[in-house]
Amino acid sequence: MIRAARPLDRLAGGALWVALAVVLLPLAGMVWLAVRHLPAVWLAPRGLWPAIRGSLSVVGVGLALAVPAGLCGGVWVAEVRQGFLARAVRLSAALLGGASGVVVGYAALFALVHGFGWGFGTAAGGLALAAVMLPQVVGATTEAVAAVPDALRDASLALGANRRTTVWRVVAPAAAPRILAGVLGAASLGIGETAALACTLGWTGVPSAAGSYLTRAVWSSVRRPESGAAALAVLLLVVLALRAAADRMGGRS
Amino acid sequence: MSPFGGAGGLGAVPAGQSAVPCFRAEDFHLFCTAGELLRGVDLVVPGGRITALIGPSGAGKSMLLRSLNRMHDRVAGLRVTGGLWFREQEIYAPDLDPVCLRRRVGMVFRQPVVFPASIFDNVAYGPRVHRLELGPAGLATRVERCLRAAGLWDEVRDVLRQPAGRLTGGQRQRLAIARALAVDPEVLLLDEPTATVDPVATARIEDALLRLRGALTVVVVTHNLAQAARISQQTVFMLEGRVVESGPTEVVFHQPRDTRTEDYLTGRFG
Ligand SMILES: Nc1ncnc2c1ncn2[C@@H]1O[C@H](COP(=O)(O)OP(=O)(O)OP(=O)(O)O)[C@@H](O)[C@H]1O
Ligand SMILES: [Mg+2]
Repeated sequence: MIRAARPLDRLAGGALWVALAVVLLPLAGMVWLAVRHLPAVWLAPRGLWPAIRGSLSVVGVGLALAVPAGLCGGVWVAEVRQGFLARAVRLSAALLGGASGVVVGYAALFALVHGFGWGFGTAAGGLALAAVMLPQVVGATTEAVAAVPDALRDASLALGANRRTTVWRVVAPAAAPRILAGVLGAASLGIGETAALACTLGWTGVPSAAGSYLTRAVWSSVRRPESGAAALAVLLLVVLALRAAADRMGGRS
Repeated sequence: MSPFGGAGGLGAVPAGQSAVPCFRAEDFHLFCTAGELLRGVDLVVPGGRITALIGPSGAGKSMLLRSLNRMHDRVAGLRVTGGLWFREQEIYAPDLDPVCLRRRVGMVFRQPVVFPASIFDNVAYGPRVHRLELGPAGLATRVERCLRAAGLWDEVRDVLRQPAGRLTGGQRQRLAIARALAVDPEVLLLDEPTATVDPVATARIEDALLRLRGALTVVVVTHNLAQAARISQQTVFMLEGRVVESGPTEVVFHQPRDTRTEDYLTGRFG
Protein backbone atom coordinates (compact mmCIF):
# COMPACT_ATOMS: atom_id res chain seq x y z
CA MET A 1 0.00 0.00 0.00
CA ILE A 2 1.35 3.41 -0.90
CA ARG A 3 0.49 6.19 1.49
CA ALA A 4 0.00 9.79 0.44
CA ALA A 5 3.00 12.02 1.12
CA ARG A 6 2.91 13.48 4.62
CA PRO A 7 3.85 17.12 5.30
CA LEU A 8 7.28 16.17 6.61
CA ASP A 9 8.00 14.20 3.46
CA ARG A 10 6.98 17.19 1.38
CA LEU A 11 9.22 19.47 3.39
CA ALA A 12 12.12 17.09 2.85
CA GLY A 13 11.32 16.95 -0.84
CA GLY A 14 11.24 20.72 -1.04
CA ALA A 15 14.53 21.03 0.80
CA LEU A 16 16.04 18.65 -1.70
CA TRP A 17 15.00 20.88 -4.59
CA VAL A 18 16.41 23.96 -2.85
CA ALA A 19 19.68 22.12 -2.25
CA LEU A 20 19.75 21.07 -5.89
CA ALA A 21 19.18 24.67 -6.99
CA VAL A 22 21.93 25.94 -4.67
CA VAL A 23 24.32 23.50 -6.30
CA LEU A 24 23.15 23.83 -9.87
CA LEU A 25 22.70 27.61 -10.16
CA PRO A 26 26.34 28.55 -9.57
CA LEU A 27 27.35 25.70 -11.88
CA ALA A 28 25.07 27.00 -14.61
CA GLY A 29 26.44 30.48 -13.98
CA MET A 30 29.99 29.26 -14.34
CA VAL A 31 29.26 27.45 -17.57
CA TRP A 32 27.49 30.49 -18.95
CA LEU A 33 30.36 32.77 -17.95
CA ALA A 34 32.89 30.42 -19.43
CA VAL A 35 31.10 30.07 -22.73
CA ARG A 36 30.39 33.81 -23.01
CA HIS A 37 33.96 34.86 -22.44
CA LEU A 38 35.67 32.13 -24.37
CA PRO A 39 36.36 34.39 -27.40
CA ALA A 40 38.07 36.82 -25.06
CA VAL A 41 40.79 34.27 -24.42
CA TRP A 42 42.17 34.95 -27.86
CA LEU A 43 41.28 38.60 -27.82
CA ALA A 44 42.85 39.24 -24.43
CA PRO A 45 45.51 41.94 -24.83
CA ARG A 46 48.63 40.12 -23.81
CA GLY A 47 47.16 36.66 -24.14
CA LEU A 48 46.80 34.14 -21.44
CA TRP A 49 49.42 31.72 -22.63
CA PRO A 50 51.99 32.60 -19.96
CA ALA A 51 49.35 32.08 -17.28
CA ILE A 52 48.23 28.76 -18.77
CA ARG A 53 51.81 27.60 -19.17
CA GLY A 54 52.64 28.68 -15.64
CA SER A 55 49.64 26.86 -14.19
CA LEU A 56 50.33 23.70 -16.17
CA SER A 57 53.99 23.53 -15.24
CA VAL A 58 53.40 24.16 -11.56
CA VAL A 59 50.56 21.61 -11.46
CA GLY A 60 52.76 19.18 -13.39
CA VAL A 61 55.55 19.50 -10.85
CA GLY A 62 53.04 19.18 -8.02
CA LEU A 63 51.52 16.01 -9.51
CA ALA A 64 54.93 14.53 -10.23
CA LEU A 65 55.69 14.84 -6.52
CA ALA A 66 52.27 14.15 -5.02
CA VAL A 67 51.14 11.20 -7.14
CA PRO A 68 53.96 8.71 -6.43
CA ALA A 69 54.08 9.68 -2.77
CA GLY A 70 50.30 9.72 -2.38
CA LEU A 71 49.90 6.42 -4.20
CA CYS A 72 52.43 4.62 -2.05
CA GLY A 73 51.15 6.26 1.12
CA GLY A 74 47.52 5.53 0.33
CA VAL A 75 48.09 1.91 -0.67
CA TRP A 76 50.20 1.40 2.40
CA VAL A 77 47.71 2.98 4.78
CA ALA A 78 44.80 1.03 3.28
CA GLU A 79 46.57 -2.31 3.27
CA VAL A 80 48.23 -2.03 6.67
CA ARG A 81 45.20 -0.43 8.31
CA GLN A 82 46.61 -0.53 11.83
CA GLY A 83 49.84 0.15 13.63
CA PHE A 84 51.39 3.36 14.82
CA LEU A 85 52.96 4.43 11.54
CA ALA A 86 49.77 3.91 9.53
CA ARG A 87 47.87 6.05 12.03
CA ALA A 88 50.59 8.69 11.85
CA VAL A 89 50.39 8.83 8.05
CA ARG A 90 46.60 9.06 8.16
CA LEU A 91 46.75 11.82 10.77
CA SER A 92 49.31 13.89 8.90
CA ALA A 93 47.37 13.48 5.66
CA ALA A 94 44.25 14.69 7.47
CA LEU A 95 46.16 17.61 8.97
CA LEU A 96 47.61 18.61 5.63
CA GLY A 97 44.20 18.21 4.00
CA GLY A 98 42.60 20.44 6.62
CA ALA A 99 45.20 23.17 6.25
CA SER A 100 44.00 25.81 3.84
CA GLY A 101 46.09 26.90 0.90
CA VAL A 102 47.26 30.01 2.67
CA VAL A 103 48.75 27.99 5.53
CA VAL A 104 50.64 25.76 3.11
CA GLY A 105 51.61 28.82 1.07
CA TYR A 106 52.86 30.77 4.05
CA ALA A 107 54.89 27.79 5.24
CA ALA A 108 56.39 27.48 1.75
CA LEU A 109 57.10 31.22 1.58
CA PHE A 110 58.79 31.13 4.94
CA ALA A 111 60.75 27.90 4.46
CA LEU A 112 61.39 27.50 0.75
CA VAL A 113 61.26 30.95 -0.83
CA HIS A 114 63.09 32.78 1.93
CA GLY A 115 64.49 30.12 4.27
CA PHE A 116 66.24 27.97 1.66
CA GLY A 117 66.54 30.92 -0.65
CA TRP A 118 64.81 29.22 -3.56
CA GLY A 119 63.06 32.47 -4.38
CA PHE A 120 59.70 32.68 -6.09
CA GLY A 121 59.26 30.13 -8.85
CA THR A 122 58.08 26.79 -10.12
CA ALA A 123 60.15 24.77 -7.65
CA ALA A 124 58.63 26.36 -4.56
CA GLY A 125 55.20 26.55 -6.23
CA GLY A 126 55.28 22.92 -7.31
CA LEU A 127 56.27 21.75 -3.86
CA ALA A 128 53.55 23.86 -2.23
CA LEU A 129 50.97 22.49 -4.69
CA ALA A 130 52.21 18.96 -3.98
CA ALA A 131 51.45 19.61 -0.31
CA VAL A 132 47.95 20.78 -1.25
CA MET A 133 47.32 17.80 -3.56
CA LEU A 134 49.01 15.07 -1.54
CA PRO A 135 46.18 14.59 0.98
CA GLN A 136 43.69 14.34 -1.90
CA VAL A 137 45.74 11.63 -3.58
CA VAL A 138 46.31 9.77 -0.33
CA GLY A 139 42.62 9.99 0.55
CA ALA A 140 41.41 8.87 -2.89
CA THR A 141 43.92 6.02 -2.99
CA THR A 142 43.03 4.86 0.51
CA GLU A 143 39.34 4.82 -0.30
CA ALA A 144 39.85 3.15 -3.66
CA VAL A 145 42.04 0.42 -2.19
CA ALA A 146 39.73 -0.14 0.77
CA ALA A 147 36.82 -0.51 -1.65
CA VAL A 148 38.49 -3.45 -3.42
CA PRO A 149 36.65 -6.57 -2.19
CA ASP A 150 38.63 -8.95 0.00
CA ALA A 151 37.50 -11.74 -2.30
CA LEU A 152 39.95 -10.42 -4.89
CA ARG A 153 42.82 -10.47 -2.40
CA ASP A 154 41.87 -13.95 -1.23
CA ALA A 155 41.78 -15.25 -4.79
CA SER A 156 45.30 -13.99 -5.38
CA LEU A 157 46.66 -15.21 -2.04
CA ALA A 158 45.07 -18.62 -2.67
CA LEU A 159 47.23 -18.93 -5.79
CA GLY A 160 50.32 -18.60 -3.66
CA ALA A 161 50.96 -14.95 -4.40
CA ASN A 162 52.40 -13.01 -1.48
CA ARG A 163 50.87 -9.84 -0.03
CA ARG A 164 53.05 -7.46 -1.98
CA THR A 165 52.40 -9.13 -5.33
CA THR A 166 48.71 -9.23 -4.53
CA VAL A 167 48.65 -5.52 -3.77
CA TRP A 168 50.53 -4.41 -6.88
CA ARG A 169 49.16 -6.86 -9.42
CA VAL A 170 45.55 -7.30 -8.30
CA VAL A 171 44.45 -4.67 -5.79
CA ALA A 172 46.06 -1.64 -7.43
CA PRO A 173 44.70 -2.38 -10.94
CA ALA A 174 41.25 -2.96 -9.46
CA ALA A 175 41.47 0.38 -7.66
CA ALA A 176 43.06 2.20 -10.62
CA PRO A 177 39.94 3.91 -12.03
CA ARG A 178 39.08 5.46 -8.69
CA ILE A 179 42.68 6.40 -7.98
CA LEU A 180 42.90 8.10 -11.37
CA ALA A 181 39.68 9.94 -10.57
CA GLY A 182 41.28 11.14 -7.34
CA VAL A 183 44.38 12.31 -9.19
CA LEU A 184 42.27 14.25 -11.69
CA GLY A 185 40.37 15.78 -8.78
CA ALA A 186 43.64 16.77 -7.16
CA ALA A 187 44.80 18.32 -10.45
CA SER A 188 41.66 20.42 -10.69
CA LEU A 189 42.17 21.48 -7.08
CA GLY A 190 45.75 22.49 -7.97
CA ILE A 191 44.64 24.48 -11.02
CA GLY A 192 42.21 26.41 -8.86
CA GLU A 193 44.63 26.94 -5.97
CA THR A 194 45.35 30.59 -5.28
CA ALA A 195 46.87 31.29 -1.89
CA ALA A 196 49.57 28.63 -2.00
CA LEU A 197 50.65 29.87 -5.43
CA ALA A 198 50.51 33.55 -4.47
CA CYS A 199 53.00 32.83 -1.71
CA THR A 200 55.38 30.85 -3.91
CA LEU A 201 55.01 32.23 -7.44
CA GLY A 202 54.38 35.77 -6.35
CA TRP A 203 51.51 38.20 -6.27
CA THR A 204 51.00 41.65 -7.76
CA GLY A 205 52.71 43.31 -4.83
CA VAL A 206 55.97 41.51 -5.44
CA PRO A 207 57.68 43.14 -8.41
CA SER A 208 60.52 40.64 -8.62
CA ALA A 209 58.20 37.68 -8.86
CA ALA A 210 57.52 36.95 -12.51
CA GLY A 211 55.53 33.76 -12.02
CA SER A 212 52.25 33.80 -13.88
CA TYR A 213 49.34 31.43 -13.31
CA LEU A 214 45.64 31.33 -14.08
CA THR A 215 44.20 32.27 -10.72
CA ARG A 216 46.55 35.25 -10.55
CA ALA A 217 45.43 36.35 -13.96
CA VAL A 218 41.87 36.27 -12.67
CA TRP A 219 42.27 38.47 -9.65
CA SER A 220 45.08 40.73 -10.78
CA SER A 221 43.10 42.06 -13.71
CA VAL A 222 40.07 43.37 -11.90
CA ARG A 223 40.56 46.68 -13.69
CA ARG A 224 40.43 44.97 -17.06
CA PRO A 225 37.36 42.76 -16.58
CA GLU A 226 37.45 41.09 -19.98
CA SER A 227 40.93 39.69 -19.48
CA GLY A 228 40.07 38.50 -15.98
CA ALA A 229 36.91 36.88 -17.26
CA ALA A 230 38.88 35.14 -19.98
CA ALA A 231 41.28 33.71 -17.41
CA LEU A 232 38.30 32.65 -15.32
CA ALA A 233 36.72 31.00 -18.35
CA VAL A 234 39.83 28.98 -19.07
CA LEU A 235 40.15 28.06 -15.42
CA LEU A 236 36.56 26.90 -15.20
CA LEU A 237 36.76 24.94 -18.42
CA VAL A 238 39.86 23.13 -17.26
CA VAL A 239 38.35 22.40 -13.86
CA LEU A 240 35.06 21.25 -15.38
CA ALA A 241 36.85 19.01 -17.87
CA LEU A 242 39.01 17.47 -15.15
CA ARG A 243 36.00 16.95 -12.92
CA ALA A 244 33.97 15.37 -15.69
CA ALA A 245 36.86 13.06 -16.52
CA ALA A 246 37.24 12.20 -12.82
CA ASP A 247 33.56 11.37 -12.52
CA ARG A 248 33.71 9.12 -15.58
CA MET A 249 36.75 7.38 -14.14
CA GLY A 250 35.16 6.91 -10.73
CA GLY A 251 32.00 5.53 -12.26
CA ARG A 252 33.87 2.73 -13.96
CA SER A 253 35.05 -0.08 -11.74
CA MET B 1 36.93 -47.46 9.79
CA SER B 2 39.65 -47.32 7.19
CA PRO B 3 39.39 -44.12 5.21
CA PHE B 4 41.24 -45.72 2.32
CA GLY B 5 39.36 -48.92 1.70
CA GLY B 6 35.98 -49.73 0.36
CA ALA B 7 35.29 -46.60 -1.66
CA GLY B 8 32.95 -47.47 -4.47
CA GLY B 9 33.93 -47.15 -8.12
CA LEU B 10 37.55 -46.24 -7.53
CA GLY B 11 39.26 -48.62 -9.89
CA ALA B 12 40.88 -45.71 -11.74
CA VAL B 13 42.77 -44.33 -8.74
CA PRO B 14 46.36 -45.57 -8.65
CA ALA B 15 46.99 -47.52 -5.49
CA GLY B 16 50.05 -45.48 -4.54
CA GLN B 17 48.08 -42.28 -4.12
CA SER B 18 46.21 -43.65 -1.14
CA ALA B 19 49.33 -44.60 0.78
CA VAL B 20 49.74 -41.29 2.60
CA PRO B 21 46.56 -39.34 3.28
CA CYS B 22 46.48 -35.99 1.59
CA PHE B 23 45.11 -34.24 4.69
CA ARG B 24 44.84 -35.48 8.22
CA ALA B 25 43.36 -33.75 11.26
CA GLU B 26 43.59 -34.90 14.85
CA ASP B 27 41.57 -33.09 17.48
CA PHE B 28 42.01 -29.86 15.51
CA HIS B 29 40.54 -26.81 17.21
CA LEU B 30 40.34 -23.31 15.77
CA PHE B 31 39.63 -20.27 17.88
CA CYS B 32 39.21 -16.62 17.03
CA THR B 33 37.98 -13.58 18.94
CA ALA B 34 34.42 -14.73 18.22
CA GLY B 35 35.04 -18.03 20.00
CA GLU B 36 35.79 -21.64 19.17
CA LEU B 37 34.81 -22.27 15.56
CA LEU B 38 36.25 -25.76 15.08
CA ARG B 39 35.83 -27.99 18.13
CA GLY B 40 38.07 -30.97 17.64
CA VAL B 41 38.07 -32.15 14.05
CA ASP B 42 39.27 -35.66 13.28
CA LEU B 43 39.61 -36.32 9.61
CA VAL B 44 41.47 -38.19 6.92
CA VAL B 45 41.26 -37.01 3.29
CA PRO B 46 42.70 -39.56 0.87
CA GLY B 47 44.70 -38.36 -2.10
CA GLY B 48 43.58 -38.49 -5.72
CA ARG B 49 39.86 -38.53 -4.99
CA ILE B 50 36.96 -36.16 -4.62
CA THR B 51 35.91 -35.59 -1.04
CA ALA B 52 32.62 -33.83 -0.37
CA LEU B 53 32.27 -31.76 2.78
CA ILE B 54 28.62 -31.48 3.76
CA GLY B 55 26.64 -30.18 6.71
CA PRO B 56 24.21 -27.46 7.68
CA SER B 57 25.01 -23.76 7.58
CA GLY B 58 27.41 -22.69 10.30
CA ALA B 59 28.81 -26.19 10.74
CA GLY B 60 32.31 -24.91 10.06
CA LYS B 61 32.79 -26.34 6.59
CA SER B 62 34.29 -23.16 5.15
CA MET B 63 36.39 -22.71 8.28
CA LEU B 64 37.86 -26.18 7.95
CA LEU B 65 38.39 -25.80 4.21
CA ARG B 66 40.20 -22.49 4.64
CA SER B 67 42.36 -24.02 7.36
CA LEU B 68 43.67 -26.51 4.82
CA ASN B 69 45.62 -23.85 2.96
CA ARG B 70 45.89 -21.28 5.75
CA MET B 71 43.52 -18.85 4.09
CA HIS B 72 42.37 -17.29 7.32
CA ASP B 73 45.67 -16.16 8.68
CA ARG B 74 44.21 -12.66 8.64
CA VAL B 75 41.30 -13.48 10.98
CA ALA B 76 41.60 -11.52 14.23
CA GLY B 77 42.87 -13.49 17.20
CA LEU B 78 43.31 -16.73 15.28
CA ARG B 79 44.64 -19.64 17.37
CA VAL B 80 44.73 -23.33 16.63
CA THR B 81 45.43 -26.43 18.71
CA GLY B 82 45.72 -30.08 17.80
CA GLY B 83 47.16 -31.44 14.58
CA LEU B 84 46.49 -30.71 10.94
CA TRP B 85 48.73 -32.16 8.26
CA PHE B 86 49.11 -31.85 4.52
CA ARG B 87 50.86 -35.11 3.68
CA GLU B 88 53.77 -35.10 6.16
CA GLN B 89 53.79 -31.35 6.67
CA GLU B 90 52.12 -29.82 9.69
CA ILE B 91 49.98 -26.99 8.23
CA TYR B 92 50.17 -24.66 11.23
CA ALA B 93 53.85 -25.29 11.95
CA PRO B 94 55.52 -21.94 12.67
CA ASP B 95 58.16 -22.46 9.98
CA LEU B 96 55.68 -23.34 7.23
CA ASP B 97 55.46 -20.71 4.51
CA PRO B 98 51.77 -20.27 3.66
CA VAL B 99 52.74 -19.00 0.23
CA CYS B 100 54.40 -22.35 -0.63
CA LEU B 101 51.48 -24.27 0.85
CA ARG B 102 48.91 -22.34 -1.16
CA ARG B 103 50.76 -22.93 -4.37
CA ARG B 104 50.35 -26.67 -3.82
CA VAL B 105 46.85 -26.40 -2.36
CA GLY B 106 44.66 -24.20 -4.56
CA MET B 107 41.27 -22.79 -3.68
CA VAL B 108 38.12 -21.71 -5.50
CA PHE B 109 35.51 -19.66 -3.69
CA ARG B 110 31.74 -19.58 -3.54
CA GLN B 111 31.54 -16.22 -5.30
CA PRO B 112 33.40 -16.35 -8.61
CA VAL B 113 36.33 -13.95 -8.60
CA VAL B 114 37.90 -12.53 -11.74
CA PHE B 115 40.88 -10.20 -11.73
CA PRO B 116 40.49 -6.93 -13.66
CA ALA B 117 42.46 -8.24 -16.63
CA SER B 118 41.95 -10.33 -19.76
CA ILE B 119 40.82 -13.95 -19.68
CA PHE B 120 44.32 -15.03 -20.70
CA ASP B 121 45.99 -12.90 -18.04
CA ASN B 122 43.67 -14.29 -15.38
CA VAL B 123 44.80 -17.83 -16.09
CA ALA B 124 48.42 -16.78 -16.60
CA TYR B 125 48.49 -14.91 -13.28
CA GLY B 126 49.74 -17.84 -11.18
CA PRO B 127 52.53 -18.95 -13.53
CA ARG B 128 53.61 -15.33 -13.85
CA VAL B 129 53.77 -14.51 -10.15
CA HIS B 130 55.65 -17.75 -9.53
CA ARG B 131 57.97 -16.92 -12.44
CA LEU B 132 57.52 -20.33 -14.00
CA GLU B 133 59.92 -20.50 -16.94
CA LEU B 134 57.40 -21.54 -19.53
CA GLY B 135 58.18 -19.11 -22.34
CA PRO B 136 55.39 -17.42 -24.29
CA ALA B 137 54.41 -20.58 -26.18
CA GLY B 138 54.58 -22.68 -23.03
CA LEU B 139 52.42 -20.18 -21.19
CA ALA B 140 49.84 -20.20 -23.97
CA THR B 141 49.82 -24.00 -23.90
CA ARG B 142 49.37 -23.98 -20.15
CA VAL B 143 46.50 -21.49 -20.38
CA GLU B 144 44.78 -23.58 -23.03
CA ARG B 145 45.25 -26.82 -21.09
CA CYS B 146 43.77 -25.30 -17.93
CA LEU B 147 40.84 -23.70 -19.74
CA ARG B 148 40.14 -27.06 -21.38
CA ALA B 149 40.36 -28.82 -18.04
CA ALA B 150 37.85 -26.36 -16.60
CA GLY B 151 35.53 -26.91 -19.57
CA LEU B 152 35.73 -23.30 -20.68
CA TRP B 153 38.06 -23.41 -23.67
CA ASP B 154 35.45 -23.76 -26.39
CA GLU B 155 33.56 -20.72 -25.15
CA VAL B 156 36.54 -18.37 -24.81
CA ARG B 157 39.15 -19.54 -27.34
CA ASP B 158 38.43 -16.55 -29.60
CA VAL B 159 38.18 -13.91 -26.90
CA LEU B 160 41.19 -14.70 -24.72
CA ARG B 161 42.40 -11.10 -24.82
CA GLN B 162 39.08 -9.60 -23.79
CA PRO B 163 38.39 -8.48 -20.23
CA ALA B 164 37.36 -11.37 -18.01
CA GLY B 165 34.71 -9.10 -16.50
CA ARG B 166 32.55 -9.75 -19.58
CA LEU B 167 32.09 -13.43 -18.73
CA THR B 168 28.90 -14.75 -17.17
CA GLY B 169 28.84 -16.04 -13.60
CA GLY B 170 29.11 -19.65 -14.64
CA GLN B 171 31.99 -18.87 -16.98
CA ARG B 172 33.72 -16.86 -14.27
CA GLN B 173 33.67 -19.78 -11.89
CA ARG B 174 35.21 -22.05 -14.51
CA LEU B 175 37.79 -19.34 -15.18
CA ALA B 176 38.59 -19.35 -11.45
CA ILE B 177 39.07 -23.13 -11.62
CA ALA B 178 41.33 -22.79 -14.67
CA ARG B 179 43.33 -20.08 -12.90
CA ALA B 180 43.76 -22.29 -9.85
CA LEU B 181 44.90 -25.20 -12.02
CA ALA B 182 47.51 -23.09 -13.82
CA VAL B 183 50.04 -23.35 -10.98
CA ASP B 184 49.82 -27.15 -11.11
CA PRO B 185 48.51 -27.63 -7.58
CA GLU B 186 48.30 -31.03 -5.95
CA VAL B 187 44.99 -30.21 -4.31
CA LEU B 188 41.98 -28.14 -5.27
CA LEU B 189 39.71 -26.89 -2.49
CA LEU B 190 36.32 -25.60 -3.60
CA ASP B 191 33.85 -23.83 -1.33
CA GLU B 192 30.36 -24.26 -2.77
CA PRO B 193 31.66 -23.71 -6.31
CA THR B 194 28.23 -24.11 -7.91
CA ALA B 195 26.16 -22.19 -5.37
CA THR B 196 25.82 -19.11 -7.58
CA VAL B 197 25.71 -20.65 -11.05
CA ASP B 198 22.98 -22.15 -13.21
CA PRO B 199 22.43 -25.90 -13.79
CA VAL B 200 24.28 -25.94 -17.12
CA ALA B 201 27.39 -24.37 -15.64
CA THR B 202 27.01 -26.64 -12.61
CA ALA B 203 27.10 -29.69 -14.87
CA ARG B 204 30.20 -28.34 -16.63
CA ILE B 205 31.95 -27.75 -13.32
CA GLU B 206 31.03 -31.22 -12.07
CA ASP B 207 32.35 -32.74 -15.31
CA ALA B 208 35.57 -30.79 -14.89
CA LEU B 209 36.02 -32.02 -11.33
CA LEU B 210 35.36 -35.61 -12.37
CA ARG B 211 37.99 -35.32 -15.10
CA LEU B 212 40.49 -33.99 -12.56
CA ARG B 213 39.96 -36.92 -10.21
CA GLY B 214 43.06 -39.04 -9.92
CA ALA B 215 45.44 -36.36 -11.10
CA LEU B 216 44.38 -34.08 -8.27
CA THR B 217 42.93 -34.34 -4.81
CA VAL B 218 39.66 -32.42 -4.67
CA VAL B 219 37.82 -31.28 -1.54
CA VAL B 220 34.49 -29.66 -2.29
CA VAL B 221 32.05 -28.08 0.14
CA THR B 222 28.48 -28.37 -1.04
CA HIS B 223 24.90 -27.98 0.15
CA ASN B 224 23.77 -29.93 -2.88
CA LEU B 225 23.54 -33.51 -1.62
CA ALA B 226 22.78 -34.85 -5.09
CA GLN B 227 25.98 -33.21 -6.25
CA ALA B 228 27.95 -34.79 -3.42
CA ALA B 229 26.51 -38.17 -4.37
CA ARG B 230 27.25 -37.62 -8.08
CA ILE B 231 30.86 -36.57 -7.91
CA SER B 232 32.45 -37.59 -4.62
CA GLN B 233 34.02 -40.84 -3.53
CA GLN B 234 34.43 -39.73 0.08
CA THR B 235 31.96 -37.76 2.14
CA VAL B 236 32.57 -35.86 5.36
CA PHE B 237 29.57 -34.72 7.41
CA MET B 238 30.16 -31.81 9.77
CA LEU B 239 28.03 -30.40 12.52
CA GLU B 240 28.77 -27.65 15.05
CA GLY B 241 32.49 -27.49 14.37
CA ARG B 242 33.09 -31.24 14.42
CA VAL B 243 33.25 -34.05 11.92
CA VAL B 244 30.37 -36.34 12.79
CA GLU B 245 30.96 -38.97 10.18
CA SER B 246 33.20 -39.59 7.21
CA GLY B 247 33.80 -42.43 4.82
CA PRO B 248 33.05 -43.64 1.32
CA THR B 249 30.18 -41.65 -0.12
CA GLU B 250 28.01 -44.71 -0.73
CA VAL B 251 28.36 -45.83 2.84
CA VAL B 252 27.71 -42.40 4.35
CA PHE B 253 24.68 -41.86 2.15
CA HIS B 254 23.12 -45.31 2.40
CA GLN B 255 24.28 -46.77 5.71
CA PRO B 256 25.18 -43.80 7.93
CA ARG B 257 26.37 -44.87 11.35
CA ASP B 258 25.26 -41.70 13.11
CA THR B 259 21.61 -40.76 13.42
CA ARG B 260 22.48 -37.10 12.96
CA THR B 261 23.97 -37.89 9.56
CA GLU B 262 20.86 -39.79 8.64
CA ASP B 263 18.63 -36.94 9.84
CA TYR B 264 20.57 -34.43 7.75
CA LEU B 265 20.57 -36.57 4.64
CA THR B 266 16.86 -37.25 4.86
CA GLY B 267 16.05 -33.61 5.45
CA ARG B 268 14.77 -34.25 8.95
CA PHE B 269 17.40 -32.04 10.44
CA GLY B 270 16.90 -29.54 13.23
N1 LIG C 1 35.69 -14.40 10.20
C1 LIG C 1 34.91 -14.94 11.16
N2 LIG C 1 34.97 -14.47 12.42
C2 LIG C 1 34.19 -14.99 13.38
N3 LIG C 1 33.32 -15.99 13.19
C3 LIG C 1 33.20 -16.50 11.97
C4 LIG C 1 33.99 -16.00 10.88
N4 LIG C 1 33.65 -16.69 9.78
C5 LIG C 1 32.70 -17.58 10.16
N5 LIG C 1 32.44 -17.48 11.48
C6 LIG C 1 31.51 -18.33 12.24
O1 LIG C 1 32.04 -19.63 12.25
C7 LIG C 1 31.02 -20.60 12.16
C8 LIG C 1 31.29 -21.54 11.04
O2 LIG C 1 31.23 -20.82 9.85
P1 LIG C 1 31.48 -21.45 8.42
O3 LIG C 1 31.51 -20.34 7.46
O4 LIG C 1 32.65 -22.36 8.45
O5 LIG C 1 30.17 -22.32 8.22
P2 LIG C 1 29.76 -23.15 6.94
O6 LIG C 1 29.61 -24.55 7.38
O7 LIG C 1 30.69 -22.91 5.83
O8 LIG C 1 28.34 -22.54 6.64
P3 LIG C 1 27.70 -22.21 5.20
O9 LIG C 1 27.21 -23.50 4.69
O10 LIG C 1 26.58 -21.29 5.53
O11 LIG C 1 28.74 -21.60 4.36
C9 LIG C 1 29.73 -19.83 12.01
O12 LIG C 1 29.08 -19.84 13.25
C10 LIG C 1 30.15 -18.45 11.63
O13 LIG C 1 29.26 -17.50 12.19
MG1 LIG D 1 30.59 -21.81 4.00
